[in-house]
This record gives sequence, structure tokens and C-alpha cells, in this order.
Amino acid sequence: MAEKEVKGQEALRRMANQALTGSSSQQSFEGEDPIAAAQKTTRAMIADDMVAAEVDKKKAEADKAKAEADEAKARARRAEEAPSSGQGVKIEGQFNIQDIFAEKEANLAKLTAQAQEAATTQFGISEALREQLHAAQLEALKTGFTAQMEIMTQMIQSNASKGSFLDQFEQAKAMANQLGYLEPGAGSSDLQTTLAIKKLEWDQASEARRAKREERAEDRRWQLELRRLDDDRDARQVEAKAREKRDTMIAGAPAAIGSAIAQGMMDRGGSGAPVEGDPGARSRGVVEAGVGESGTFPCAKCQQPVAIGPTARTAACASPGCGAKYSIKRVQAQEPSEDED
Amino acid sequence: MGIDLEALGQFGKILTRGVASKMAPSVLQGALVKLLEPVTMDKAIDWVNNNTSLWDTMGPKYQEGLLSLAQHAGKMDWLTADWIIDAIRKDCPALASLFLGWRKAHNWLTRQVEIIQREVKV
Repeated sequence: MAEKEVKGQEALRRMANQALTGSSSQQSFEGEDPIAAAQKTTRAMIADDMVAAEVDKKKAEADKAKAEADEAKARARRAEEAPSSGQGVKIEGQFNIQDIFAEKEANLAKLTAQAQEAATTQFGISEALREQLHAAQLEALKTGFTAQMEIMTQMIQSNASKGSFLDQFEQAKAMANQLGYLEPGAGSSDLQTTLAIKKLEWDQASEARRAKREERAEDRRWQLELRRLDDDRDARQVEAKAREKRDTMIAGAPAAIGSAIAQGMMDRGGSGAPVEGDPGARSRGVVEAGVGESGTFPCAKCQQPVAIGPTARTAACASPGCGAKYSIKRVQAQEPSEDED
Repeated sequence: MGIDLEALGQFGKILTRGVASKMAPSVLQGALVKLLEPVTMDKAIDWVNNNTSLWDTMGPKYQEGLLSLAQHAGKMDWLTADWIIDAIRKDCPALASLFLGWRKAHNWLTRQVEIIQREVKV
């Protein structure tokens, strides 16, 4: 069959060469020019590729056919064997079943021994690991215990000066009793105390709210009072300004009247009796004094001292609000000096 | 009642010119009362008859005080004979009466005021 394939391939190669070169002989290009030779070589290579592809194709087809043939043969063999399948197994030749059993038992014993040996080995390893783990746990416990012991030792040493725990507890309890804290009892007293405390807290809160309300109300009252005082002050200021204005007008009235009278006198040419004069002049008293005499005498109006100069002809009381004037009558006639009235 | 003249030394150091000018009459009134209170009637008549200088009589203490006052109060045009009579009217009524009723004394006082104005003129 392989020989047939080779022959087929050769035949195909020849056919391809003929188709490409147009010649049936391979020796025909001897003595030609190189270009033609190269073209021929190229064509030969292309032909070889075509042949190889065709060969592969044919080979695949042959393999497929061979597989199909094998399968067909297998089917045929199964078909031949099928009629005798329901009649058990036909054993030919001789054999000793005891030997087979013995061999199997030997194998089994051997396997069992191997398994036991492996199990023993594994158990040993496990035990060793367990021992190690146990030792490690013991070591950890020991280390932790040592550390705790050290901490406790330190705590005891630090608290040694404070006495025992019970002593400290008793001291704290005594202090709490002194401060007024009652020892909590069991049962209903706790509840009553709690209720009492809650009631006190509620009372305190309500009292605080009431105080705050009162404070706000007081604040509002104070603001109102301040506003009222401001209003009063403004009203008083307005009233004072009005009064001041009225007083100013009233005070200016005499001066205006006096000015008007003086103006009237000037308009009349200064004639007429004097309107206003020294009020003291109208009530001027007379004081007798010797010539060149000086001294003081009490004012007839205010009893304040009034001085008389040695050559004065008049005397006047200088007391504020008095203004009394006096004429001095010299008892002995004397020529007045040049600088006298 | 005016302010004592002895406070005049501190007067200008403390007060500003505006306040000093407002307070100057009160200060001078106090000084004049203190100066003239111990003066008797005869002494005053002697001053008038002898034309004694009041500026010289008051002494350096009052002179310095008046100068300081004038320095800080500025113009003292309110200082007149009538102002002096009015200033001492309450505390020295007899003296004020003398200057008021005796023309010669009034003239003397007017002259003394002019002298003082000249002395303290800034």
C-alpha cells in the first residue's frame, strides 16, 4: 500500500512538472541562460509544494480510510463474538487456585505489615510532637505565672503602706458615713431612697424653672421701670426748657421796658423828671462828723460798718443787697481839698 | 469766697488756659481778701493819703502769684476798682465802704489797678 502511495506521488510530481514547464523532460533546460534556469527552478519548487500538499491530502485520506477499516474490523470481530457472550467464560489451561490465594494472602500480610509499620511511625511522630507542644504550653504557663507573680509582688509592695484591702474598705466606708452617705440596704429601702432622690431632683428642677421665670419677669419689670424713668426724665427736661424760656422772657422784660422809657426820654429831648435814680438817694441819711474826722458807723439798714473818709462828703454801705448812702455833714466848716467833690 | 493766692504757684501747672481764665477772678478775689483783711481803716486811709503803691506793698509773694495768674489767665480786663470793691464787699465791708463812699480812695484804687494791670501785662 505504501508503495502504491509513493508511485502515486511520483506520478503527481511528473504531472505538475509538465504542467508548469510545458516539457516532459527535466534535462531540457541544460545549456539555457541562467534566468530561464532560475525560472524553471522556481517553477519546480512551486510544483514540489503543490505535490507535497497533494501528498499530505492523500495521506490524510488514507489514514482516515485505514481508521475506518480498523473500526469495521473491530465491529466485525465483536459481531463474531456476540453469539457466545451469554455462555460464561471458557478457561483453558491449568492453574492452582491455592497458590493464587496463598500469594494474595502473602501480599495482604505484607501490605498489612507495611501499614502497621507506617502507623507506628506516624504515632511516634505524633507523640513526639504532642510532647513538644505540651512542653511549650507548660513553658508559656510558667512564664505567664512568673510575670503575674512579679506584678502581684509589686502591687503588694506598693500597697503595703496602705494596709490591707479590708482596712482600706473600712476607712472608705467610715469617710462615707462621715460625709452623710448611707449604706445601701436591701429591698424596699433602696427603692424609697431612689424615689426620694428622684422627687428631690424633680422639685429642684421645678424650683429652678420657677426661679428662672421670676428672674425673667423681674427683668421685664426693671426694663419697664427704666423706660418709665427715661420718659419722666424727658418730660422733665422738656418742662425745664419751657420754664427756662419763660423765665428768660420775663427777666428780659424790665430791661426792654427800661430801654423803651429811655428811648422815649431821648425822643422828648431829655426833659422831664428822672424816672429812676439811686434808691438810696431818696432815703439818704445825714451823718455828722467833725472836720477831717474818719471812722466807721453801723448802717441804719443792715448794721454793717460804713466807713467815712477824712475828707469824704458821702458814705455808702458796701454790704451786698443794702446800698444805703449817707451824706456827711461836717460840723466845722472847712475848705474842701482840690480832689474832693 | 475766692481761692487762696498761695495756690497760684500750682495753678498754671495743673489747669489749661481756658479753665485758668475762668477761675482767675475767683483766685484773685481770694488773694485780695487775704491781703486786705488785716488792713485797718487807718492804714487804708494812710495808703490813700500817701498815695502808697499797692503793688509794692503786697510783696514779692503776691506779685509772683499775680504774675503767674496773669500768665495763665491771659487778658485781665475784668480787673477794675469796682470789681475789687465788689470782691471784698462781703469779707471787708468797711474797707469796701471806704472805697465806695470816699472819692479820693476810689481814685487811688483806680490808680492802683492801673499799676497792677501794667505790672502783670503779658
